[in-house]
Amino acid sequence: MKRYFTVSSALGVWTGAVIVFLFTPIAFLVAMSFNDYKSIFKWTHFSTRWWGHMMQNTSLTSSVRVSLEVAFVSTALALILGTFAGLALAKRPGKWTAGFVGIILLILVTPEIVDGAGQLSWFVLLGGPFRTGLTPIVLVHTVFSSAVVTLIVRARVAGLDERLEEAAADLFATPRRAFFEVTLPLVMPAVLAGGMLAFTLSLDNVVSTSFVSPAGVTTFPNYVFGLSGGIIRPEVAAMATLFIASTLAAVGLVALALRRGGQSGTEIAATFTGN
Amino acid sequence: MSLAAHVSLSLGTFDLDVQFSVEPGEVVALLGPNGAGKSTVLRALAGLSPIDGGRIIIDDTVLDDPAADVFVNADARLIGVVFQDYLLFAHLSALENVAFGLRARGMPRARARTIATEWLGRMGLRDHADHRPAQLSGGQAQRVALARALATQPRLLLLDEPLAALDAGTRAEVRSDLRRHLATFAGMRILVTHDPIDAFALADRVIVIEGGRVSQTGSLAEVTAQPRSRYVADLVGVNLLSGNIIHGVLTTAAGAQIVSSYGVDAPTPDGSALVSIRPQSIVLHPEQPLGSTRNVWPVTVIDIDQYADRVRVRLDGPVPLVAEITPGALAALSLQPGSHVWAAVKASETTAYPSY
Repeated sequence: MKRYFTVSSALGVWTGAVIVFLFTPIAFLVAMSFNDYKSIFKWTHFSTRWWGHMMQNTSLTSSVRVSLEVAFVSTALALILGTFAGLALAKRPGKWTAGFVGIILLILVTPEIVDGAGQLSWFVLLGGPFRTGLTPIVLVHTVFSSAVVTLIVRARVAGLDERLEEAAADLFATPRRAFFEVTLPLVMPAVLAGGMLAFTLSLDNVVSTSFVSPAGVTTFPNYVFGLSGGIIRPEVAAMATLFIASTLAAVGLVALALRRGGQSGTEIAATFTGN
Repeated sequence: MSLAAHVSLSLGTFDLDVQFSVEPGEVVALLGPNGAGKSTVLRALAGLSPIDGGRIIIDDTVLDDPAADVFVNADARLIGVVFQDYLLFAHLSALENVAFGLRARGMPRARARTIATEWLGRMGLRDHADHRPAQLSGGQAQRVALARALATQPRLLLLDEPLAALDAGTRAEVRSDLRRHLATFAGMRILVTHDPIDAFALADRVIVIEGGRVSQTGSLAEVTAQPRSRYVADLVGVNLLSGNIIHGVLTTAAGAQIVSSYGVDAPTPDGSALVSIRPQSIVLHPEQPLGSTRNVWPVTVIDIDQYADRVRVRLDGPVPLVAEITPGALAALSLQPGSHVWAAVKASETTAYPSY
């Protein structure tokens, strides 16, 4: 009995250590947003002044706007492409599936630095709209986001009982109605989870974004990354804190929506991890 | 409203060819062992699996006729289906599940909900209208599935193994519930089951399907009196012997002879025939009986199943038999597996009838 107790308390200590290891940097960043000093590398005393400064720093706020616009547009595109691709993979498998899944996995495993360089050279060749505004960044983000959404939606559709559509047909639902009233609502949790993932992937992408960003267009992470050689001021920490808070709120909202849709906690967790 | 169905299709090496009809207002059970093709017939009727040959007609409407290139899609057939595992829509409440078919037929939402509420009330589920399928018990889910199928007023209701998904404890209760609710529906009803109790409890008539063919149809009394296959005989618990009959004497493939009474109404014609013997009609003797009994065979006890008020004894000999005796008789004869006894059946206790 004693031995089990020792083992379980050791595991508890280990779990605690892992959590501390994972979350200390985040807690540190949040704390530093309330630092009075001009850099996040040295604590002087408590102040909220950088939270006010944050909104006046136009290069910071415009980078945040760029990031959010890119994230929203690329997520929307990824959801459309990925949902249909996932449905097709699960419902109409054939000779093409292996090749298609291969391409998707290739997108996910290719080092971003390779992706970025390749995409940049391709966009330079195309020129025009591919070298200005948000278009190139949106396209790059859409590529990997749609791969992620495809895999998550496919897993969900594959787990659905396809006889549900037969049941709908027996209740006079046309194939179109069966799809929109039965299949799509049941796949929705995966679409939501895929969208969340696509959004966050877009928000924190640095490497390929920095390759394809046209002159004068900077996303928030790239703005922060550009600062790291110099001084990172607490206003950046404040903005990051805002990001963390809104991400948590969004995850909470999705979980709430899934719960209202009749899913248990375990199912929700499974959805978020793509199972 | 009547159904005439001839369903012919092949699935790999399995070849199905089944022909039957259902009269207006009739409840018919498709009874057969697993893999006999019952559910495939049901899918064909519902329009979920196209047939290769034959024809499906309800009233004067041809639903399926490959020869004439006619196929009515599942969503255009006036047929309701209750699936084995109900297939309720998990994202919809019980009420919305029932309203689904009405909405699909173009009924305005408010009216569909009113009718769905009435149906749930009829099924005793008014308090569960807002519940999701995951919150319903097996019996409640089945009633929702039944309400969902009936709300659209189909001409034909199909039920696939309606009680198979339930545990033994709730089966009897749900079976009598189902019987009651089925009785309120005036259209044709076909249920698929491998359980003779369900078939006989719920249906007016039984169509036995074995190996992709109809082996027998009839009412409970008819099927019990004259089983046409080993499967049916085992189901209804009678001994069935097949062979060739000449002047009322059946000779089995193994060479044993059974003297039978003539058929109930007329002598059984010579030729291929069946003889059924009820287990209660078999008398066991410790010594060879010398009496008027025409059928006497030396047999060996294989095993003994004891029930509360009767004992079923499996016997091997010139003909394999099951005899049913009382616990008192079992004790008096001190039977046990391996015992050698004599089995006797009066010719008048047997029923002979032609194989087809």
